[in-house]
Amino acid sequence: MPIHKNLQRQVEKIYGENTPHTNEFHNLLARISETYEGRDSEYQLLERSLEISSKELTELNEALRNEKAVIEQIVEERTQELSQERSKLEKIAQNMETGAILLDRDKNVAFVNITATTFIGLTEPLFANILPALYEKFAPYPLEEYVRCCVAGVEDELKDVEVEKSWYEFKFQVLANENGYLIWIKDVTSGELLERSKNELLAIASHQLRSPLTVVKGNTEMLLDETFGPLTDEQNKIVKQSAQSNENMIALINQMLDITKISQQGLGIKIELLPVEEILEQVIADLQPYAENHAVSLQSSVHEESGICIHADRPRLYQVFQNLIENAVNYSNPESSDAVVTVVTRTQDDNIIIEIADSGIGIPESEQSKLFARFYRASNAIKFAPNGSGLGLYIVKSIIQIFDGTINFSSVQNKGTTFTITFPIK
Amino acid sequence: MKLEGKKILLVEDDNFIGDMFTRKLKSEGALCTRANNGTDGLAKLKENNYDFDVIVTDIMMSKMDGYEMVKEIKKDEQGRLLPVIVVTNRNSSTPETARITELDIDGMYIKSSTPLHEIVQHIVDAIEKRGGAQYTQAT
Repeated sequence: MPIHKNLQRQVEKIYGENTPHTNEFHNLLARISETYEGRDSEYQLLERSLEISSKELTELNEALRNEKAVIEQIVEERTQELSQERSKLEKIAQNMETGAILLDRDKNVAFVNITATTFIGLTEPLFANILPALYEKFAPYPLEEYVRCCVAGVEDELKDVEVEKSWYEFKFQVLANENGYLIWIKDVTSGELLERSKNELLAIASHQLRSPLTVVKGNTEMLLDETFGPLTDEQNKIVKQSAQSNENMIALINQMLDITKISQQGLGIKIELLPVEEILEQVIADLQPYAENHAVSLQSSVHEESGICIHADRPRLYQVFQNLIENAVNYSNPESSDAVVTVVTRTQDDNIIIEIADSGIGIPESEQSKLFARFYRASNAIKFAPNGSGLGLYIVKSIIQIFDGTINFSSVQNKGTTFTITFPIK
Repeated sequence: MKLEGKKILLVEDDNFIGDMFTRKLKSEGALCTRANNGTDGLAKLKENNYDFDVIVTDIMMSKMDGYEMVKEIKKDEQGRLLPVIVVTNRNSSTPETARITELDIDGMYIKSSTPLHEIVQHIVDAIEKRGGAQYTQAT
């Protein structure tokens, strides 16, 4: 059996080459040689596994390096994007017509745009000066209190802020996660001035327009009641038509004034507890002659003495009922011999429901969605009665909404329309 | 005739409206004195020693408006007993009309919305309500 070459070298070193040995010695050498062989294979195994690990590590390292480079690239791109985005946003914020002040979590000013500093009147805005200057500029208004509430989490708005002949609106916002707070300042001076001059113009115009109409109204009234002598039938007809046209004009001016007042929320409304059915019955009684003139039978099933009350303003509630019942009469079919307008009331849950139904010309289905729009008149209504203003139902709806009520309708052309009003019972 | 022999001071700056009211009031038997504005109205009152049954006045007038005039009249010992009917074309929700109702007036009506015969009736009612308590009769 060949002996391991390392052992052979050691033996030859000690005993010299070609020295004869005993069998025992050979056996011993053979055993030692086996141990050498075992160690060799273990060594090779270890060397192999080291080699593999080191290769893996190198590869892993390589992959990590690549990944790092990619991430670095992405981070750089994102940083650039963010900074571009930030500068874009900042540019937008700076050039907005609305003033903006951003407070950080600790209630310090973190950003303010030029618009805001202009409103406040600061030329060189130091963040620390912004809030005191803001409070001072708008001193009659408790802005500090609003900011304190905002920081406490209460968002709010402040309108009609008038300082040095300019008008402003404020908005106080809490950012998500209470990450900061925003104060918005809007200059509404031009709108306010426009609104004022529009209202002044309308008030003057309506006053001036009403004067000549008053003269025609009074004089035609005297002619018609024959204070100054009898009229022939033809003369009577002429004066009556003039008087009616004059009334239409007066009604139009009144409606236009109502519209202005609705937009200003200044209808001069006095809300009180009112017996709704009693007022409705009164309107029906007052309109009986009107219905008779139009050959329409006005029927009612109203529980006049129910004592049911709603929150409303008496003249405006009267106006709503009057307008709807007059409409029902006006748009009844004159050719039908049994034209009927019915007014019915009932209660449902905590509401009183009033239904005004006619058997008239109806509203074309395609036009029903526009019925409550300002100046809108259904095409068949225009042909039927050319002089309406298209303001009546808009005003009616606006008034009903002020009283927390709703108005709806259902209509079939040439069959009739039913308006349904609902008011909460008080 | 509903206003037979009643003396009415009509203060109105629009000539046509003034003519129209005068025509109606006269047709009801009234005696009409016209004034063109508040200053003129006060002068006519004094000239006639407050001898009127009722004052019918507009609000918006040059020189002195209806509000200032009625305020002056109500300060006066003789004038404060006179019934005052305000006729205007300003809407009831304007400041001008709101403040005049705070004075002791007997009614305010929108000219373009109130028929003449109704205004006559309001004048009759106002004279009746004050019980003819005007100065000349009281003394």
